Amino acid sequence: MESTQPSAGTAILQRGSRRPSAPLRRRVQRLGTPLLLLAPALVILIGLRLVPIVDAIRLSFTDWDGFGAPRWVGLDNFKALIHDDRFTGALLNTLKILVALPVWILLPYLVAWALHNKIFGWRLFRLAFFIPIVLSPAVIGVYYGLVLQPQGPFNELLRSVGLGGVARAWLNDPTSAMPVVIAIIVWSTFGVGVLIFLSGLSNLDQEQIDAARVDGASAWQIQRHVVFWQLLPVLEFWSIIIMIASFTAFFPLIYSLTGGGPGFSTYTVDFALYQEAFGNGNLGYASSIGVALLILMAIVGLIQLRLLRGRRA
Amino acid sequence: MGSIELHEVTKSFDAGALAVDHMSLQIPDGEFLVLVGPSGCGKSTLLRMVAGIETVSDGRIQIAGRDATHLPPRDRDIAMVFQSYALYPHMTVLENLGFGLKLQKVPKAERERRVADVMRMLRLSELGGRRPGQLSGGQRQRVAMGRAMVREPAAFLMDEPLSNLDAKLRVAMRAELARLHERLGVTTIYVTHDQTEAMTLGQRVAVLKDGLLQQVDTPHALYHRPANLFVAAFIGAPTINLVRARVERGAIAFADQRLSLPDDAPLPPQQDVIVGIRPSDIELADGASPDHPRVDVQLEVVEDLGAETNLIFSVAAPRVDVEGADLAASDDQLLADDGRTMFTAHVSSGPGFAVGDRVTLAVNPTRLHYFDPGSGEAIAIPERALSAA
Repeated sequence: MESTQPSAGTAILQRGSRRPSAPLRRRVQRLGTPLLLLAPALVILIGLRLVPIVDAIRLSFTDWDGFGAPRWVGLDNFKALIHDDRFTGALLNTLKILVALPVWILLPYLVAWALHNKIFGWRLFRLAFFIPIVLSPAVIGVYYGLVLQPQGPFNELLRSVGLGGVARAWLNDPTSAMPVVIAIIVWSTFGVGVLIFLSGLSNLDQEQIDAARVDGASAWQIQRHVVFWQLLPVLEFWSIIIMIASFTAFFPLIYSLTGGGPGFSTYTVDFALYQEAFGNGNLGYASSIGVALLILMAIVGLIQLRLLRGRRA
Repeated sequence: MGSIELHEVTKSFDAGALAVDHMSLQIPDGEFLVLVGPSGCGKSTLLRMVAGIETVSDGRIQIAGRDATHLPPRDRDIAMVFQSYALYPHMTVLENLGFGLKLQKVPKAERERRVADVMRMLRLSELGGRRPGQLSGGQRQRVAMGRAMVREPAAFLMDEPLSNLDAKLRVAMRAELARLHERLGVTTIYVTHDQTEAMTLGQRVAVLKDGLLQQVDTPHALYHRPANLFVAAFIGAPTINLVRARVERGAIAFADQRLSLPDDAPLPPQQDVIVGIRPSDIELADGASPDHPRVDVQLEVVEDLGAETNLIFSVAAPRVDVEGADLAASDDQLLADDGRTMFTAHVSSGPGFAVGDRVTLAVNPTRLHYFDPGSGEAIAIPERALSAA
């Protein structure tokens, strides 16, 4: 007998023609809440990060001075960058900071290892190493500027222990200014590294270390063959953070410590960016420095990851 | 090859807690000894002390005749298999196997030969170039075993090496381990919390609780002659049935049951006891010896295992909880305590049983275990039953 009622399939087709199909509807419903929750963060990210980045890229091809309408100059800013001795000098200074990377990794690691093994007074040390993190870079800059004055407490200390010959105008001497700046930067940031390495060490697979001990590994061999590989993700993270910070984060400290001098011996790329944008009013040119930095950081970061991930499982 | 001797070995931690309390054990050359006990009983700590990974607070450890109490792990001539396998994730299978030999500066040719031999024996030859992350659980377990074997040590120490495997693979690997020990004959201390693993693998089994050695004996003796309530309750699956009882002339009475015993049945010298009856010592009345006392029960749960069936019924007596054993402290109890004790009879599968059926069961009186209710120590062990067992 033939049915005059529409079949179930027909009914579904009819419904489907008017409204989204059930799986699609379900998917939209499923995404609705997460998107709603992410919305504030996404708005901030897009409005304060993505849009300025895209705009900076656009401005890097202009000669905008911050007031008039930007004029398209093509690659002129980038060509000028290559021949800008001030910029290449600043880049070289930034790379000098980056050269300290091994110290930046090794020092926090050694301290973290000592704290992890609960050396005497480890709670106090942990707090002491953390203090620089909470200080403003400008405060650190001003503080060390005073401490390292020619007649400041540091030189006084050297003289009092018979090392007066070593005393000098640390921040006014082109040969010592950059090493001093690097030392202060390392000091001011290594507490973060200690914390990061400490968290890595607390998550070590102890059974692997025990296995290596049973296998006959010495303390150094355990570090090299077991701990190093387990900490590699932490190492990657920390070295990338340092690299990015070297290019972008130390301007306030250097500005308040040396002002980029003496001469331009502590003048770094982020300093150059600031100077071109807000000192010289070359916002288009400053944007091209920003874009160049972005590309440089991507290249250096990729090289770092490639070196570190060589043998990771 | 090497024997292992523990003399009054003690481990105390900072808080003063004793993880291992004056433990003495002699493990002859070539023996497979299993350390078994519930979590926190000190079995892994003891193994780690033998390995040299954990320091010894007091006592002495001898490996292959020499004092190893304070020797570093590398000088003890032992190899260890860990619960997580502890393979080096950045090394290939080949490198994992050869790492220990490389550290010991074994010549390259010798190293390669030994690694190849072990790979062949453990069917790892095809996996040499893979990293642990690319292996299945069973393959990783074999690599971990291989890493220990390639060292050709005086003793193997194994810390729950099968616990990360799924149930089926665990059973298969258990048999493989037994075969491997048979072939290599290397002294082995094996830690597990799984009494089935302990009973099937160990030539002798040491039962630990709260850092104290409860009993060390063959699996057969542990099952049939438990030294105390804890061992009786911990060893055996299904778990032993325990009930407070009163020994009267020619009978044992508990709750609403009264087991009349034959005249020659061994009886404890005291009246108040805890009686233990292994589920396998309760039979269906049909076919049981006419001397065996009968009990009529109503089935509350029927577990049909195929060849055997667990018949579970209750008796009107309060539970006997054994501290530290698996059945203890109501952890195995889902429903509220109704003042009754669940008993299990492990019988051959016959005609279908159903919940609610009334069944007559027979208890073998020579296989009863008696324990002192105060101390929990075994009393009047039925020797005649043992000879029959």
